[in-house]
Amino acid sequence: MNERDYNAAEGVRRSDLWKINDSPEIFRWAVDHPDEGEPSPSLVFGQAAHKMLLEPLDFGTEFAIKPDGIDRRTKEGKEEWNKFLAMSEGKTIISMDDYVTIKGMADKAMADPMVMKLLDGRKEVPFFWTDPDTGVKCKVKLDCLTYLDDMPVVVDYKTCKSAKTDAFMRDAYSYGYHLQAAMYTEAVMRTLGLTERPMFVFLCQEKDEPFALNCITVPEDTMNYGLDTMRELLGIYAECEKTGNWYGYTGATGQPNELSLPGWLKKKEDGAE
Amino acid sequence: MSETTAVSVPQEQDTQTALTKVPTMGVADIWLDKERFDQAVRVASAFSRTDIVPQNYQNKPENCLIALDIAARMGMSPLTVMQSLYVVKGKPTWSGQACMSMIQGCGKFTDVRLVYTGTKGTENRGCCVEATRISDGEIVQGTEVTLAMARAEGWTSNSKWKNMPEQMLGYRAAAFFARLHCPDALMGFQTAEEVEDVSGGGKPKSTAQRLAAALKAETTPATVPVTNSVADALRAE
Repeated sequence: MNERDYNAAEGVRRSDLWKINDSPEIFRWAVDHPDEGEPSPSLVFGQAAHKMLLEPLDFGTEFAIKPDGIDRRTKEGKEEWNKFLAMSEGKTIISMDDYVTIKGMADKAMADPMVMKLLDGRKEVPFFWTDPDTGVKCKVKLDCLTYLDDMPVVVDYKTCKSAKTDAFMRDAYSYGYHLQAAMYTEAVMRTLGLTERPMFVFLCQEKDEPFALNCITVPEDTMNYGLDTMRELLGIYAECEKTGNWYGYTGATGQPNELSLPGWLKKKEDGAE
Repeated sequence: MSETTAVSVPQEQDTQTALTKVPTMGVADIWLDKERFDQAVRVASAFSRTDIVPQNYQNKPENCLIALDIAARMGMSPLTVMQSLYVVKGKPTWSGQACMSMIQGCGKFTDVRLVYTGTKGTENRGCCVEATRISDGEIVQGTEVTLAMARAEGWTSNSKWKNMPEQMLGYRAAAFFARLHCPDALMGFQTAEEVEDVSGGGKPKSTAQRLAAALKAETTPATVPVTNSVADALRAE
């Protein structure tokens, strides 16, 4: 299934659901305006890195590398540039610098025996299922689903500034990676009828040399937190869908909020008394 | 200083004593009679110094003393007890094999046999122990253990259920029979399989450890990295 068909298929994605965590209003706007705004450079970089590592044979059909040294002020330069644009129609353009980095990252990853084993499975696998509690249709696309020693393992590739476990962990909860682990494993369980939750692994790689790699599993407590978050957000989504009330930060009934002291500051304040 | 080193007896004389005295040793007397206790300690010490006893008993006269007591109570050879009594997850446990011989040796049954049911290799494959009760000549059966039951109970996370299911069915069936019809024969101990199944056969607990074990078990895939060739082709365009 190609990207366009997957995007067009009915279902709530993990990234959509995580927007409900901000507010249903934010989520609704994003769903209603899918083509608004250019994708951010870091998003494009991540997509290109995924393609190069997971489906390298399709890289050239989806991405074009902007050639260096074209002086668009000259006639020849303009012609050359227009020729490049014509050849790259429908493709996402990335810079030569980004391409060199992405290639370096993929080469480093594929030379790693652990990565080879983790990625020796089905890549970019879409899953669709209906949540039995809320009736909400969901969809996810797994980077890789593999079996290690007969154990199903869902692998998700993340490019990041720091792949160090502590640093990754700090960012993980603000990006909703716990929700991702829960939702992706739920997809596999529901669709394949598994009784045991598959293992979920983040394959993290830094974007700067030496393109350090890390392999981080999701333990039971993090997975349970992710499942709780998933249940809550699916519940909110179903409720909003039913009532048509896609509320914002003031909540379903429009209540004011308070600027309370954060935990660490409150502790400091209490200690000073 | 531990009790191990506190026991001091001439080695040659003591080994000789062990071989001759063990079968005649009383049961409760070991613990109540000072002389007999001292003798048992000497025998235990002698056993602990041989390398014929399993590793758990080598240089551990305290372990040997317990094994001697059990052997005396059950009328078994001390060496058989030592070979059949393991420590699994910190608990003394009987091997599955020993469980079957205990049923046979407890004196209550004759014609003890394993009866397999269902189709080999499928979930309905099962096993139970059947025996003739000597007291009334009745044929008695233990609870049937099936592979479906093993899966439902979560025992199959112990890899032995994958690698040798027939053997595991037999061991489990023996343990079930003994628990039901001659619980005293096991002296309240579990079998090694019972403990391993519940604890996942020593399966590492954390997800990282489980993944590491799975990665180790997996051979390197034959996937050829293609990024170089693709990247070079792109660059050439």
